[in-house]
Amino acid sequence: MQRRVFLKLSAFTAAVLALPFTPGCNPGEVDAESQPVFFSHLVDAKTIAAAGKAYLVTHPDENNVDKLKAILLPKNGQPTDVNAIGRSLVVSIANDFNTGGTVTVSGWILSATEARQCALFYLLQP
Amino acid sequence: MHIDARNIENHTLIEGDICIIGAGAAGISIALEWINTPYRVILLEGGGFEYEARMQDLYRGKTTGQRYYPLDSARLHYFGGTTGHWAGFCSPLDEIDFKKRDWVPYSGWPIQRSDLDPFYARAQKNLDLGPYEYSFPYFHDKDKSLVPLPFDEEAVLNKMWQFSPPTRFGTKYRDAIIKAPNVYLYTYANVCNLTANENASAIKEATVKNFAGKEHTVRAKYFICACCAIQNARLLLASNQQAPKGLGNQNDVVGRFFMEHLEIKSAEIWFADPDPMKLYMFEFGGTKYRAELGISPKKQQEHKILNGTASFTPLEVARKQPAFIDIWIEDKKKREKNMNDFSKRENDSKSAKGYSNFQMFTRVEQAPNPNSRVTLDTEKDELGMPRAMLHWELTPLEKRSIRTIYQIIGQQAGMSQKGRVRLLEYLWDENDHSWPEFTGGGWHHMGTTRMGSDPKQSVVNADCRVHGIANLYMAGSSCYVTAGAPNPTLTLVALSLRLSDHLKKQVNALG
Repeated sequence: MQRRVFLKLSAFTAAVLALPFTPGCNPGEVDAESQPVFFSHLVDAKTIAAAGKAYLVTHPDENNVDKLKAILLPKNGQPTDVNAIGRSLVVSIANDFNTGGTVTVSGWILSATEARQCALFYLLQP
Repeated sequence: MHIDARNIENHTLIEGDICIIGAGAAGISIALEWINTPYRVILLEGGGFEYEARMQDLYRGKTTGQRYYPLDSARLHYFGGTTGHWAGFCSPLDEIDFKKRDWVPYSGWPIQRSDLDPFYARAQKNLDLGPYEYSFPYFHDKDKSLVPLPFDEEAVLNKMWQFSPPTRFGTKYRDAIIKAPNVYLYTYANVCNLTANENASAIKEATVKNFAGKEHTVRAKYFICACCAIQNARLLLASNQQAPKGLGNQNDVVGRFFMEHLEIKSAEIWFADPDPMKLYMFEFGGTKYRAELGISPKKQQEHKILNGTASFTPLEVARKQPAFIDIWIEDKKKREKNMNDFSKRENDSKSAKGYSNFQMFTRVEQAPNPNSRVTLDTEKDELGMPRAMLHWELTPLEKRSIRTIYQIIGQQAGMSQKGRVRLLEYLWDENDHSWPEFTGGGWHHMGTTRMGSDPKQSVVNADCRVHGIANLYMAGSSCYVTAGAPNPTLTLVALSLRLSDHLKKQVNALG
């Protein structure tokens, strides 16, 4: 899935966080999967990319856009709508934290899902 | 009654029922318990009532191993002891701290938290604290604006601290001690040696010296060393006429197991919204109580980690502050400037709305380690006593514990959608067991005459009596088996009160 989407702050994500994005993380023309919504409100794009790069160093087998997307959004029941994608990922992130599915990248303790989103963000950087 | 040992005739014989060596928090707490009893109490203080550089120099000593503060800056050598500059942080040890934990080598006290509870309650009064109450709901009922972080208490809990004004024992209790008809306070009475009987099974007398060149002898039924963890060990090791390895040191345990609290910046927490974090903030002289984040016993066991807590400093303040270990340095002028700069930076930026980013600072127990130890130097101090040498040694367990503490907190921050946690770089690599330059301690010295039932692994028994010596006791944090997370003063006062009660029974039994 290589299509580019315009991720807008939906009612759902606005409910998650009613704060502006940090500089460099304004949602623009990006893949929804590469937007770690909560983390994007805390740090800038450079930090997200650095975390993504660090994740790929420790997970070299995932150093591939298609593979990361396939892990983030498995084909079965895959949502197509941007908001639904966002919702699905937010749920995955919550599940990760609840089940101990965390990873440490560049020192950040992130859910495995959002770490992969960071990795995707890094790979999709122009 | 107060006697200046410089002004009495040389070679005076001083006699009493009990002799307390050292007038700091432990020694004074014990002495206060004996006022108006029918017993004659000798309280020996090496210094006077004020700070004196020459006296302080007796505490100077070399350090090796992990970088440490100059030893003469870590303890005060005058009436009141280190309460002359403590910050007043008080909290009891947790139940788990007393337990044998299979993942913490040499852990397990011969007493339990419940044994100390009545004495903690009494110690609260000595330290001008509130009721013996440390549960978060108690404080939340008093002040609903103390909002806790929304974390699962099964994993991360709010460990409460109370703050002493801080009580300066030298000021507060001086009159009570001096006016007591049966307490004889001798200042400028440095105990340089304990003389035992021939088979070192009992102490016959203590030898005191001072800079006036006077030397006196003290005889008592019971002797209690309350000189602080380093000096307690030093005195036992230096008293080696009847026991060549030092008193109570037949199994080479005296001075070993020196413990500190590692106090070190460890992580950052980034919030989505600014938070005043009132429950967790501290202002010297103003705050009466606050919380630090602790890890539940269940999680400690699950992850096999040491007990530790996290406190918060706004990131913009913390990033400008040097580490403690870089503030308290040998150069006294620079040290003073560093301390002023540190306070200024803390006071410079205050925000009513709160902050979005905080640095998290750890206070974690050190795993008991026989290689972390106090020994004697060949160099002697001005009174002819061998100086103390400290070899401070940490293990990989401390570092893994700190890392895991923040991984647990990080998971909670994520679960609650409160924020994200970032470890400082020295914690990133799980295979790196080294420590950064800014690693420091809390000036908390513990464990050098540890308590236990096995003389091969301990120096004192559950009553704080030195194994094999009928009338010699250790008071204070030198008796700690493990350090827990809290600052040691409250517990050492509680232990001293417990010892005092025990001694009263002993003395009464003698008739």
